[in-house]
Amino acid sequence: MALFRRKPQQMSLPGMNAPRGRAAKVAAPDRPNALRRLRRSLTTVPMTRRRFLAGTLGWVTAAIGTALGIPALAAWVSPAFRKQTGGWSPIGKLTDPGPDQPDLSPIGTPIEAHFTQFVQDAYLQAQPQQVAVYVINEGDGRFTIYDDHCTHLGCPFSWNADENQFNCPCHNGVFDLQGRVLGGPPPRPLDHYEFKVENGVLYAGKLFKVNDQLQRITQ
Amino acid sequence: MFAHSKEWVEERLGLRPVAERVMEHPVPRYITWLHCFGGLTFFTFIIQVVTGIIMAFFYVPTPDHAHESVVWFQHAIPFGTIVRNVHRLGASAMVVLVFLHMLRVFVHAAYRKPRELNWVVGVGLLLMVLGFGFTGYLLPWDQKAYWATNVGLNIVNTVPFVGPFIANLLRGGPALGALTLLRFYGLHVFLLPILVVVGLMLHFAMIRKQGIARPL
Repeated sequence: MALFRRKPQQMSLPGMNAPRGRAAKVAAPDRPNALRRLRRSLTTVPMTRRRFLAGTLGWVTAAIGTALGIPALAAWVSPAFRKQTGGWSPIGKLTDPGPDQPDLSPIGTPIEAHFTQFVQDAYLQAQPQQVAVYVINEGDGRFTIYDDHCTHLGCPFSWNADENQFNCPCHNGVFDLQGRVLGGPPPRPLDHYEFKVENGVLYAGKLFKVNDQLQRITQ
Repeated sequence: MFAHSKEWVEERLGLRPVAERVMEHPVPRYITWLHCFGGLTFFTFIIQVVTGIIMAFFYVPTPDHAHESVVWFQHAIPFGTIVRNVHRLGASAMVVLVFLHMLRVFVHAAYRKPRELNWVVGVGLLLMVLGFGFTGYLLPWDQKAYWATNVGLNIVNTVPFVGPFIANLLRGGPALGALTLLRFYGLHVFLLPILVVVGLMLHFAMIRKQGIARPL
């Protein structure tokens, strides 16, 4: 108990009078690595009560900062990794379409169609959203679904059957049947929707972009 | 790489004497663990600020989306449950700690001359902490929040003469609704934090100037 009753004083350790601060720094080329420097500073610089408390304060602060910082930062950053939502939306039946449904049977020509997409936007409940598309029946069970928005600035375009091309009215963007840019400012071919056919119904899936070779470039 | 950055800044700004004055400030020998409650209250305040700022990025103060955004934050955002519950429990902890701090000052009679003004500022801060609790309670916009605020505002209503006016002022009209939520939100995240920070600066400046009260 005598140890605790003694008046506080600076503990004396070997190397107590060693140079401190700038003088203690070794010149850059011979500077030992961080671990060695830590060990040296812990063993040769005298451990005073003040130094111990300052170090403890620093480490405890760092620990609390980490414990508080990781959840906060993770929560704040996480929306950056949100995935595009939206599943498969029905466009129409392939055979005997209803009176207000598009006839998807003509092969090799764009057919105007719509589907209703339910988009869940964070805490907002799924909102029905009308999406206009051009569907091309490729004839072998495959379909091409173009998003009806020009890749330049998002204007809706229309099919020009006389010239066999898509024309955008805003800035004279022109696309061919395969979606390639024939003229005007659009930077890339038309955007596609994934398609699938289930029980005779054509569905549109995720929207994706293609490059000039018509290869898919986005998830 | 950053080995000499400390010297570089020091050469230009000369901050070391300032840092030394803060860090090497002598603390009297007669302080006890009971003197920690004020600092602990400030510590919980910092936690509330950090977690509150994070939630501000996800919360919407409108009746049609407030509750959905809170629920969504808790289940869809990583650590969302932790962040919100730390804020919720931290609020309770802060009220408890600020009362213990006040009790300590009262029992030690540290409010006497020359520290009366700091006591007055402290009481103001206490009321602001309670204001934080009251306004924050409504924000999740669930049944408990709605009815608790309803009861709270009806209590305000019973104040003689000015009660009905103050209740309507806080409520933003005769009925609890969209404006109430927006008013409580504005108080909780803009007005009260500014007032509390000003109050804390006064509180800390005075304790620094006057020193910690000698024991009885």
